[in-house]
Amino acid sequence: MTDQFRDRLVGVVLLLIALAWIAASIYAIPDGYSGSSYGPRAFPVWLGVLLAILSLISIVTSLRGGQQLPAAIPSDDAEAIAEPSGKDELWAAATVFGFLLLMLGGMWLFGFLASTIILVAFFLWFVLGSRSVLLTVLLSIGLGAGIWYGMSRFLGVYLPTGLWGI
Amino acid sequence: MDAMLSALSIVGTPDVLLTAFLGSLFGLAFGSIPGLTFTMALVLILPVTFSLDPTNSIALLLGTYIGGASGGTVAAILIGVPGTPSSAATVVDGYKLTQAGRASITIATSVIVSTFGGLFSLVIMLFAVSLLAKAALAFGPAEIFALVVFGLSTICGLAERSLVRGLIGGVIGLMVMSIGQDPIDGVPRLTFGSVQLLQGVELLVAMIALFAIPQVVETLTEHRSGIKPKINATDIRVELPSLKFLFGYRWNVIRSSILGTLVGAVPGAHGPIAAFLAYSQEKRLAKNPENWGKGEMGGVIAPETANNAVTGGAMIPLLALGIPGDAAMAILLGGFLIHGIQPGPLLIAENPEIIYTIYLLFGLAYLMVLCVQLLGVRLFVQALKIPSQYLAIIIMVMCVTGAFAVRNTLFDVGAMILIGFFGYVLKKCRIPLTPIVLALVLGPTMEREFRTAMIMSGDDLSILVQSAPSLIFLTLTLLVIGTQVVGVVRNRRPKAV
Repeated sequence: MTDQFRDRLVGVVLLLIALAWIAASIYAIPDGYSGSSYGPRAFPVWLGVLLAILSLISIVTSLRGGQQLPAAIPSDDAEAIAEPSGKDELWAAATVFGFLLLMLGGMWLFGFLASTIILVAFFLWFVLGSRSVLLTVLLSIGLGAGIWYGMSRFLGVYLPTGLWGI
Repeated sequence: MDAMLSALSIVGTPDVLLTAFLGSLFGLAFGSIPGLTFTMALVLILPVTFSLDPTNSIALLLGTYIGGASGGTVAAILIGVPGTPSSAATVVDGYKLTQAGRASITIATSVIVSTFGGLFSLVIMLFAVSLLAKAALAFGPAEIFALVVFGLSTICGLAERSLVRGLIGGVIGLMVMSIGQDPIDGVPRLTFGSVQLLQGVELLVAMIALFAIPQVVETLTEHRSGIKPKINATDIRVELPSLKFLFGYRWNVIRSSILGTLVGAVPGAHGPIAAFLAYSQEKRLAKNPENWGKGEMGGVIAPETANNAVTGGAMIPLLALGIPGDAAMAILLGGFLIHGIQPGPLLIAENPEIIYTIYLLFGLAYLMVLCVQLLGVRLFVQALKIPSQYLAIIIMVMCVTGAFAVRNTLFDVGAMILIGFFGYVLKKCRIPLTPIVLALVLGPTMEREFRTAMIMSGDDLSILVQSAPSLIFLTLTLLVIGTQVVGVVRNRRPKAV
């Protein structure tokens, strides 16, 4: 996918979002009580219109040949220019969002302590490929128990115990 | 003079020093953990003061406040996730400096300039407390709106490579912040029946998501691809700034201190506004603005000085008039009142020793925070020696913890994941994330103050240009935007060969 095509696609998606946002703002936000003509709908509608205008500018710019953006970080270093493959990036995104979603579910069900220890150990061993038992045990228990103890004991912040109260 | 000596003898006792030190440590811990704020630290420490005498209570509260205000820097510079909203502007250049192997000098510099900013505001507090308090109260909704709009013009400078993309980011941030209960009428906006969404998107949750999650994905992508990490463990060395080095940034520090103190004195304006304004101001004045955003030390010094100068500025209306400018000041006021201290003009006239005690404890807390953080620099940078893939796991767990701790609800953890996903997608679409964060910070204040001004004026828009401060800020905003647009148009024109 070329940069120009991607910019055009992003512009169209943002334009659709802006139109949906304007419609939702008009129909789903109730009237206010302050009596001002700048009520609860005013800002959301203005923002939707602004996003629509900016999206149109973005689409028009990409249709006219795209904006020539300067290089992000000019560098002669070959390693700095090296681009990771899309497959690697997909793996990383799946790993991060998978971990976070499992943490969310785990905290709700088993509580912070158990889910952190189990998930960190699982990710270290199976996803990141760590083959050090000591590191896996120390990092998972250290992180889970350390944060749990530190937050509750010293900072007075109590982390979830889950449905089973672990 | 007697009052000052009396205050010195009170503050110099070991128990007060110890209490101030413990308060500073507690505040630092809260400030440095993304998701925890010094307002939360003050709420938690307030009941502890019930069993203490007034001097120790003030020492504990001020230590916590100042420790918390200074603590957000380390996480912002080391891992690119701001500990507090005030440190959001620091991430832009701070994390780039860490990637360049300059973490220790960046942290040490920011700690030193933070202390300078705080102590500068203390000096202003000493000499101009009554004058500034009156001037600050002249700032009504129209003036604060104009100030915030000027702050938002910073987006032009944060837009990285494309002004339109930067503005799109800013508008998306403002849109996200308009979800939830309406700030004036209290009606639900785009919540679609969700009770949890009524509270809106929590700023800290959004900040954690936008700064940390795309960063962690990038780190793991590099690990998977076998690309050498940007931060090389062998390059990490402990380096402290020399006096000559710091002196080179003297005008940046002085200007940012003045700006931070003035912004802090305005009720309703906060550290993040001062930090972004200072960043924008110094970038405009810099000899090499093109380097800003790529790891420029001035880009760390300006926001850090300003957001700490806010602490003294915020104390000005509190002490002189008994008016708290933000939530943290309201908790401090509560703490003072519980111990029979009623801030206001009478306190300054009738009990100057209490005022001097507060001033001394304020300065003392800053010096303690400076010592703790400077001694900790060696320890902080050791975190960078942890292999990047393990650091990524640690950051993910910290993100979950921080998002939960903001309001003690798993809903915020879910929101963090969702916002992080959109942040990642937007980054892939080359839309910069910093303008989104700036809009998240300033958006609610901008809307609230604009609509309050409209209600006050009976929908007469001319209220926005009736006073000198609002006129100045709006003119400056137009100038900033105009300059940027002209620059973009000039760059587009084909150059003559």
